[in-house]
Amino acid sequence: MNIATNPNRQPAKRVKPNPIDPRAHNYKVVDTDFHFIPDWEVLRKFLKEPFRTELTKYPPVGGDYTPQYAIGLEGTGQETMGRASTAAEVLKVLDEIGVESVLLSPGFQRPQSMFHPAMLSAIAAAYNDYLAAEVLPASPRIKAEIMINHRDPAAGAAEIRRVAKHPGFLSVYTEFGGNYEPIGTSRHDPIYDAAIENDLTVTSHVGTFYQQFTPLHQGTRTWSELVGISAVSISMAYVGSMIFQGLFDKYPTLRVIIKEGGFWWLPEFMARSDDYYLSHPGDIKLTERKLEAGEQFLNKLPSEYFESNIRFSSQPVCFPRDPRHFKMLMELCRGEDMLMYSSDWPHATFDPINWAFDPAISEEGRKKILEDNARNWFRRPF
Amino acid sequence: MAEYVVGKIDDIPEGKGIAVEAGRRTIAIFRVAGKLYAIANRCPHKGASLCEGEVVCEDGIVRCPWHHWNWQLGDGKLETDPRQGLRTYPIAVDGDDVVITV
Repeated sequence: MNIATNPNRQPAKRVKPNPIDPRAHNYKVVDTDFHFIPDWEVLRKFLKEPFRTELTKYPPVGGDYTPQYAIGLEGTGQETMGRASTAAEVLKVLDEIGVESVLLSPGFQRPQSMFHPAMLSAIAAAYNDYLAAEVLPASPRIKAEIMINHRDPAAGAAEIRRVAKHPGFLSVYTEFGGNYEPIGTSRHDPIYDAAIENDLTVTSHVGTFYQQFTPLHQGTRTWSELVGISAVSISMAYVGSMIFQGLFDKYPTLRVIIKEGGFWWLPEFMARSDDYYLSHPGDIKLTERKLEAGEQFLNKLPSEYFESNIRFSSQPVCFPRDPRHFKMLMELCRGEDMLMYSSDWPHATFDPINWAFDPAISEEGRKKILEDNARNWFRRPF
Repeated sequence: MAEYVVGKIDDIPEGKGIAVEAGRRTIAIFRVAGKLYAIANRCPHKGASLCEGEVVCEDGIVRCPWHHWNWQLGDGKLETDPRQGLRTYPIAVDGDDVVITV
């Protein structure tokens, strides 16, 4: 090739490509997991005494988890894409990532792992008050989850009732993680009572990766094991506690969203749950809620509770190596009905909407995943 | 095969990507330790723009800005699984011009 003599040479145009699929603008996309990280000095103004005086920065909790080094110098991977601390910053990011409406998750997950109940409850109240005062009123595009201390169910329920009157709160945020019991156990019923009473959905988001507290996590060495895989196994255990301990029989109208816990596991979970339940249902009546109700069995087969009570936020959507299997998994998991889009911004696992334009997803399913599934699952207007 | 002029060599910053449109293709251009590379701009994992990625070593690897997939600029292969690859394009300096062949 003699490039010097080519007379047809054309100029290449310098561009700044937008990596977000432009078809996003054909939808009013709802993002069900966007992490909001208030500045401590702002949050502190809403913190009650004596915590306001004593806590000059986010309190230390839990400790780091070993594989954090794997994601680079930014630390925990929780601010890889940036940081949104005000309503204006949230709206700017939404426009960049093709999202119309957002459900803010408390983004500083580490405080939710702390064992200091009064301090955590105080921080949760300050967070909710800041949102109600300055963030939610800024735009109808912004909705939020109520932060609570779910390890103290009575305090959590009181906090829900204290702030639930604000229509911008659509749900109650809890976390699943290695150093805490599954949220489906009956001692969390005060939280579910308060949620039902106020038409609030309950979410459970992966978190609390503090491996030093559990043998499972003590045995992990890598980011993939800890953040990738244990999130899946723990979310399954949490959903198991909800179904088999009669949560949805006591609260048939309760709506739950599992966030960042995966969902390709549904076929295994559903088939195995039904099989084991039908073979050994004798212990169901011994669980607390069933003892109280005097009931023998679940009201439905375990697999049937997904349709009525459980949905999943989408991120991270992981593609199988054979692209044909994506369509099969979507069908097996009823992804077009069970999934609601989430970005996880600004975490290292950020998932833009691009995957939703995979041709394996139907036109109708795409609209459901990006808009309708979320809007219909919350009992309050989104 | 068509040739496109990306610009002058000084238009391409050392160690930092730019993107150009050449026909229907969007191509990321890098200059690493004086050497030029041209590679498809879109990361096939989730669609990020590789031109926004960080050049992580002098061997010529660009790390995707979203999920840190490491693409080798020289042959386009994924460092962790070389069975996966991106298209690379011939790039050369002709006089003052940097030229890619697409």
